[in-house]
Amino acid sequence: MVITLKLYSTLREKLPPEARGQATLDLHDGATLDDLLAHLDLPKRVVISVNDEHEPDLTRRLNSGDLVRIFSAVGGG
Amino acid sequence: MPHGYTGNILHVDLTHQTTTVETPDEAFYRKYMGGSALAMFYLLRDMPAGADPLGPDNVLVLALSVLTGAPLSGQSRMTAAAKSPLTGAIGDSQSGGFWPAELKFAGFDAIVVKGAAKEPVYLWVKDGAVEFRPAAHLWGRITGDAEDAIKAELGDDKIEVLQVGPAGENQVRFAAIMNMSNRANGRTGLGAVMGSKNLKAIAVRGTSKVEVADKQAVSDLARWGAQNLPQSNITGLSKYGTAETTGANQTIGSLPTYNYNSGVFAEWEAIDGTTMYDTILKGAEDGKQDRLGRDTCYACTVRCKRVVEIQEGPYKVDARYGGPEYETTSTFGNYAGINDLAAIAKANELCNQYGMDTISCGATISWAYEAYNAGKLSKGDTGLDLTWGNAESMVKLTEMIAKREGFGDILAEGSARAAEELGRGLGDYLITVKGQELPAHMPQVKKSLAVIYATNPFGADHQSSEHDPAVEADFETFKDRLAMIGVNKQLPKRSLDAEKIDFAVKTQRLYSALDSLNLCQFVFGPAWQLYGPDQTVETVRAITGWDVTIDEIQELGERRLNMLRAFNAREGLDRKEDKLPAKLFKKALKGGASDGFKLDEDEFEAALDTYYEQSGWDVETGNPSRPTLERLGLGWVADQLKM
Ligand code: SF4
Repeated sequence: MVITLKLYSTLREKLPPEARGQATLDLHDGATLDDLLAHLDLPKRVVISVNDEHEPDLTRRLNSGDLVRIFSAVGGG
Repeated sequence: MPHGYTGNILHVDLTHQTTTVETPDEAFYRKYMGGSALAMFYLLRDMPAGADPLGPDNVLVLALSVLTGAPLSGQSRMTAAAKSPLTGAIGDSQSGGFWPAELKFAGFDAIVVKGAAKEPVYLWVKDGAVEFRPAAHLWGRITGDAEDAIKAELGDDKIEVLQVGPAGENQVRFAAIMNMSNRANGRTGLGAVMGSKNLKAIAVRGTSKVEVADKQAVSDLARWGAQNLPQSNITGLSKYGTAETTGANQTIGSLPTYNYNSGVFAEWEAIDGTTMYDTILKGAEDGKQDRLGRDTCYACTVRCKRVVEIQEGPYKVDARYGGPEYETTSTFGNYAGINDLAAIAKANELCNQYGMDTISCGATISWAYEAYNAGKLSKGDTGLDLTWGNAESMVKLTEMIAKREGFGDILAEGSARAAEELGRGLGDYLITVKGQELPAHMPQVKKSLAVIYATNPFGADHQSSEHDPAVEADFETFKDRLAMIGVNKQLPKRSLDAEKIDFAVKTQRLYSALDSLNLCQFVFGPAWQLYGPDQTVETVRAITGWDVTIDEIQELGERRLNMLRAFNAREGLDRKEDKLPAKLFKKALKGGASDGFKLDEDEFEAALDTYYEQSGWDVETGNPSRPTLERLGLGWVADQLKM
């Protein structure tokens, strides 16, 4: 199962700099957002959208072709 | 020799061109500590009730705290306060930079400015000496030019200059006070107050040092901060700026778009902080933006300030005027459906050159865009095409407001006055509280902000309390710090019950204390900031030597809030002015995660009752009560209010 991943601000540093936060990932079928965060070694306190819809539920199973965006969660500013 | 403060308050009488120095005792400093609370002391003591905000009776206070100038991140900040020409209520605004520390090194904890000069003047403050100097040759010049001219004529490049730009001279009601030509005391129009006094600038230079009580403790705190910054929750903000939050706000439906009619903007990625970092930050072309594209405040290791440089295209931007924060990318961007980051950076540059608040300026423009797109304003009125997304007109209007040209002259009054002047039901499109435009955090999504925005004494403000996610989804991460100020329970999403108000009140007190200690709210705070409440206490102890506790800090915050509210009560304001824009209740948001969200009148009014009760204020009027004022050592304020 192949998904498109976009990481923003400091989270991008989980990928090589030339990727500029964007990658295509091959995940096992039935992989969840939790699995994805673990795979990327990302914290759970992040804000995620799947296909540009907010997804707070980390047990959400991903589908091939999904676009997953992950942002740091920050308050205020 | 006191620790942390100089003991000198400079009083400046512009009318008679005289100065005096007041030397309050230690008990005074311990009680008010600085910044906003200290400024309120002088405003309540020295300003007559009912003063014209743009007349000589208004008093403008620029105040540092007992911590300013110490060698620690987040301490070089300053409060400007006066009666606001935008709201008619108290005006209060914070800024960072190098000017605050420099004023301390020059020997003063605050400057209290009274009267008005007949001709433009500027003040030259050097190591305890104060000089009035003519400023007619600086009048009309943009900030960068005036700053260069002052440094050249005083012959010292290390001078820090605080000033008003042409917008302050023109008394634009949301004019800012600028320092470094890129840091702003932006909100509540205090630049217009300074302009009305014919005070162009205050140049400062000092060579003394701040004595701290416990050098080792201060350096331990500094070292801890530097070591923990990379793993902290503000590391993204330091590198990518506050606009790094654009995508997260978009995702949760809290990115105010089309003048607050939607919480999502389809083209958000074009104006996001990560995009800014990759494209227009100085040095981005060669990957050197971490070195060239970030700036700081005195002694701050965080270096969060943006430096944008654009040399090609229709919107060239000079790096000396900094770069936009999240509030600015929002108000000049998503607020009017604008996706052009270069145009936003240009509007930001204009605001810093002319000296204007980017929030009120952008939001006043987006109000006009909504009216135009609803067919209530025409090109005949505006002289410009204000179709949603038109970046060119937005940039043009920004300049027209600063210069009070054409339609810009009406908008320079702020959206609330402009709506009143134009009539035609344009009030329906307002997003103001007490006449001040809303910042870019949505109370429909983060509901405690509904109460804070409505009740905040100087109009809607996003930096007066912690936002709801800290006690909702992120509670587990922050529970230890929140417990230090008595917030102990995770709360459901979008609640607005007594427990949520308790969270708002307690975090508001801490933020209020930070504005009196003049500590940066990115560096100190109750949740995601670099240092927590315990370290805030340690900082005050280490610098001053006072045995303060978190309760004393919270009480300082409460004292300052009561003084602000008391000022408003003296001006005749009460609960009637604690109103949110009608459209937040009437019109549901469209699209994204906040689709259908609107506020509920009954829930909101009940929440207000709870808020006043928990604050120890009169529920009918929303004003401070005598027992609360007396508990906070403010019996003299109760006497003034004749209660
Ligand atoms: S965190 Fe940013 S705004 Fe705050 S003091 Fe440091 S550089 Fe200035």
